[in-house]
Amino acid sequence: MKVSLNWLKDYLEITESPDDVSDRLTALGLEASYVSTGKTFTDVVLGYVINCGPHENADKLSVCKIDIGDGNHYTIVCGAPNVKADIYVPIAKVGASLQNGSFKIKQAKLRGVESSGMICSGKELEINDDHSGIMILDTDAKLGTPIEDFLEFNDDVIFELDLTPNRGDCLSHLGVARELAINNNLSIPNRKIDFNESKVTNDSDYKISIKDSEACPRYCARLIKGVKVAASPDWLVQRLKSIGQASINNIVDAANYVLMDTGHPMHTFDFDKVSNHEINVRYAKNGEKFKTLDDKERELKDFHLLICDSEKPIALAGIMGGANSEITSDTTDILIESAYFSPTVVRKGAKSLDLSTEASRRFERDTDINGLIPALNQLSALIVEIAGGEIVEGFIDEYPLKKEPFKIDFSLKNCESLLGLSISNEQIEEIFSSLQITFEKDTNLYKCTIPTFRNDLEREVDLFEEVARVIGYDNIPPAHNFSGSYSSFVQDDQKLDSLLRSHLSSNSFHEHFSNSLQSQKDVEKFSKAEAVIIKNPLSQDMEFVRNSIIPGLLKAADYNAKRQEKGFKLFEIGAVHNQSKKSDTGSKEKFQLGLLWYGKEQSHWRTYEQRDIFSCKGEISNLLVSVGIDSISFKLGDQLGYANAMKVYSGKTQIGTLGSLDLAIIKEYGLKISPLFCEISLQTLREIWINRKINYRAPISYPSVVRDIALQVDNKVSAESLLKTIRVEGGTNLVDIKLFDVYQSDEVGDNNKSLAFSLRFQSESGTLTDSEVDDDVEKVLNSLKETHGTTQR
Amino acid sequence: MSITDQIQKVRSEFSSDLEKLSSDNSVLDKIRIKYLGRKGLVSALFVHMGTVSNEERPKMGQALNALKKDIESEIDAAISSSSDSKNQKLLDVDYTLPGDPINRGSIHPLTLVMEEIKSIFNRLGFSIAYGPEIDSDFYNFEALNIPKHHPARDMQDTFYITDNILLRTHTSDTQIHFMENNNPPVRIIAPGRVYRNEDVSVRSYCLFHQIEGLYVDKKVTFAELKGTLDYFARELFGQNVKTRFRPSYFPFTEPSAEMDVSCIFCKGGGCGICKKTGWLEILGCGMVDPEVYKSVDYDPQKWSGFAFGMGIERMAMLKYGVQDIRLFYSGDVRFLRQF
Ligand SMILES: [Zn+2]
Repeated sequence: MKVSLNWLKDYLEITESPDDVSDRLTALGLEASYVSTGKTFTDVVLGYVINCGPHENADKLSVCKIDIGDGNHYTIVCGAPNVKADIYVPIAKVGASLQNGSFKIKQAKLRGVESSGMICSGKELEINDDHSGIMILDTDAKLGTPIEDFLEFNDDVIFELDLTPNRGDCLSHLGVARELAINNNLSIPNRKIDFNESKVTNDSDYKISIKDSEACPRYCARLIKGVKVAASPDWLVQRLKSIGQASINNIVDAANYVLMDTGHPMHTFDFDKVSNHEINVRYAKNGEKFKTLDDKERELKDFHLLICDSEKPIALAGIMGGANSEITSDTTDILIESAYFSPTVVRKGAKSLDLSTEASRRFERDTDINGLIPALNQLSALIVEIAGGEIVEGFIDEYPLKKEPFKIDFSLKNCESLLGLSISNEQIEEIFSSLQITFEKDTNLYKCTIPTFRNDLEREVDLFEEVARVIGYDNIPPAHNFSGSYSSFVQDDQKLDSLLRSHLSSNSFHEHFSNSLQSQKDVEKFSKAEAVIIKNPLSQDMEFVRNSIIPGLLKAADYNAKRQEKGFKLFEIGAVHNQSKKSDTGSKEKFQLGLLWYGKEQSHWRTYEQRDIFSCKGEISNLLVSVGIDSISFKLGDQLGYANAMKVYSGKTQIGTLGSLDLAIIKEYGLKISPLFCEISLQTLREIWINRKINYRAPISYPSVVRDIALQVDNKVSAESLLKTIRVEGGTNLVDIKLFDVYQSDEVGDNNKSLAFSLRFQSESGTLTDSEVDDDVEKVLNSLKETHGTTQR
Repeated sequence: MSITDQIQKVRSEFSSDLEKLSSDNSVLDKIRIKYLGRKGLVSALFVHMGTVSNEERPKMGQALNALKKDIESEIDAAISSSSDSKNQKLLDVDYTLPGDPINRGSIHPLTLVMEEIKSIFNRLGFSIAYGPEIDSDFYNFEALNIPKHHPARDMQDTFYITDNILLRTHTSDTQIHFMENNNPPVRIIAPGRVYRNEDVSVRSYCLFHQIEGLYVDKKVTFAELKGTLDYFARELFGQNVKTRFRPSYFPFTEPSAEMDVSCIFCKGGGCGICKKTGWLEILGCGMVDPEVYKSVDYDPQKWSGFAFGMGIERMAMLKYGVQDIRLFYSGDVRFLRQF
């Protein structure tokens, strides 16, 4: 909302600087910024064109001799088509600055001719938008007079207010003036409205009927006959222009002006086009069609409120008029509507048509039901003043549903205890009167009556805010201590996540946040669970809510690969969703941890990083063990989107998948190398983690004995099964097993492999003897031979 | 040659290799590989165990294990003795060669800011609660005193799944979920991802992250809200920042306020980032509106409290000077590495 300082001064004297006014509005909750307008140049004076001839070297340029009254004649090259001898023009002298200093006039040579200054257009001086030629001035002023001395400049300050939706009352100059008056203890005078009514009898009857008084509790109208639709006077054009409104014609401009002044939207009908001179306010029928004055045909629903004549709709109530009753240059008689429409009805109607107008914006935010007649009179008087005609005596005021002002009981004690501030009775009474709130004092209560322009004040707590606002939020001292209740503490369900993050980030993973809105392609690749669809997506690429953590990481991998990153690791923790009939929201939310390994880090003089499925397996085990999750195992399995996949288990619970993705999919994401990928269900992990236990055992003080065994075995026998046999058969003294070598060679044959284990024995009850350990090893070896057909090497 | 002989042979060869070391100590690694490497002499002997008779095997095994252990410990001893001569070893190998490449990763800047904010409020006794990203109109709007057809809905462009189900536009939904399931007093913050149907640009994205705070107890005052949030701002941005509260509007708080901090770039003097005002808008807050209590069956006569909410992206942009919000979601490791 734009507000002009000059306009505000119609209502109250303002002596503060624009900066202070802006701060004060902001402190009152009307967030403000401002720009100063007015004269934007220096050293522009009145000049006279003595003569004017063509430029030798340029068709479109003229060379003029100029007199600015200082006894010299200046040569100025001018490109305007309307330049000629014997006219008065604005001359920017050498050294002048235009448009707030954004350019300076210098002595110049234009196509070989010296030019000492510039003849200016209206646009160059920012007086108007005319750039079709130079400004030709009609004045008696002396040559050389600064042009600001005889042209009027609209020095003004325009405030831009970022209004919150509750403050519909401030969508006008009157409303903002009322706010500015609050701290200054000023009262806002009513505008003086003078007009005469004429007794016109012929063809000046009209009637109004309201079918739904909830939707339209009040409807007033006046008739003006014999107006002449024409251009608006300068002052009006200027006022509207200052707040960014274009001028249309005197009638439309007048309505617009009163709207911006009082905040009350009114509508003007061409009286001749209102059949039978009847106004009926009713709801539309489903499917009823209506052409609004922006020339769009709109299909209506039964919740759209219409203004109709005896035959047809002529306006969408509170939103926009109809093309069929619009004011045109032929209009002579005007019916002015000043009505109060239900905010919800207007809101619903405007929203469903995706049509927001200056009128609908105000009705939605609620208007002052007692402001109808003053606004109607102000507009009528203005129209007659600038467009002629006669105001037909009398007006109609249909008011079927009387709206009473809000009454609120206000307890000073409650107010003090909410704000944490003590306030005197005098102070509170002063605050009420500055807000035009009237009250009766009743023992401990103030019985307040709220002015009808403040529809946002309905409850006691709303008044607490008003009190705080008038006192100034910054004048309420902050508390210096705090207390809390132990019973307010609750468990953090996602505490595990920060452990995972810190482990991963110290193991060279970068944390990624990806866009969880994805395309159909993304949600079909890695999960069979049906993804949630957005009804009003921003674009087709973002039509779905992700059902897998993988695509976001793949896109990030592609992004980095295209920027010459050869090797990196990424992880993301986030929610994924899929459709679910069982839940209230029709969807199920799960948290996933995704890890991605891409390429290899740069080689180093001592080592280079090994990266394959086994390094990843190790990293996953390490991650899980380090956050306290044990009994990790991996089993082959199938997984959508993967070429090779292993399921990750903790004990018997599956917690995730590790593997490499399908090559065809990788290519679709623009990647040339296949990254390794692991996804882990955080939901499952969090549950296991919450119940984790540390099984503490005191360190054994007796020495341990290590025995290495080398085995030859068929290729098909898995390391895991050998380890399991060793673990089971090794007895209670076997405290640790390491698989330290695996190899294949001609020596062991094509179908066999050789594995070497290191077994550590230790006992809590004493130092183990060689023969005790030998017995255990023997048992292990025998069992391995029997179960897996191993031979010892 | 019998295994025993071979063991003996390896032993003496090792001794003589080790003696040579004193004249040339750069060969230690080579010695280790020669004897203990995967294809070293000791491993070779293990391979030959297969040819030993069953009776002899345990004895041979022991002897071989003893050999391995001896060699290991002698090499270790040799290493530690050679490093006794001050820095000689480092000088021999060019100690300026770079150390092993242990790459560091990073925690996302948004997580960092979120964690920092969480820890400040943890100190003030706030627990952490969570709400769902896909939620119903009731939790996101209705229960927060934003009925259908209310102009306040224009403040938040919403993605809808159905007429009644949506992607939450703020973490304030968590207030309602939490209060429904817990009796007062309440002292929580709720971090999470929220969505807005806004075009993607340098300054805005279709999703972002928020932290919501809620404190409900007996006799909570506006002065406490100011004290708490003022403390928070000084913890996050430095002890010298000043705060300013100005009236604002949120349907679920009354009175409502916007908190600004003095610009951390120009110290309040006015610069491009604070649009010459000297103030940066940081968060919205207010006293919980009685209507909200009604929708969760709390007695507004008995309980009062305050709520606040802030955008993590905005905080992170201010804190780290990030100009383009989209960088947070790009996964660009050149960006991420810096945090
Ligand atoms: Zn600044």
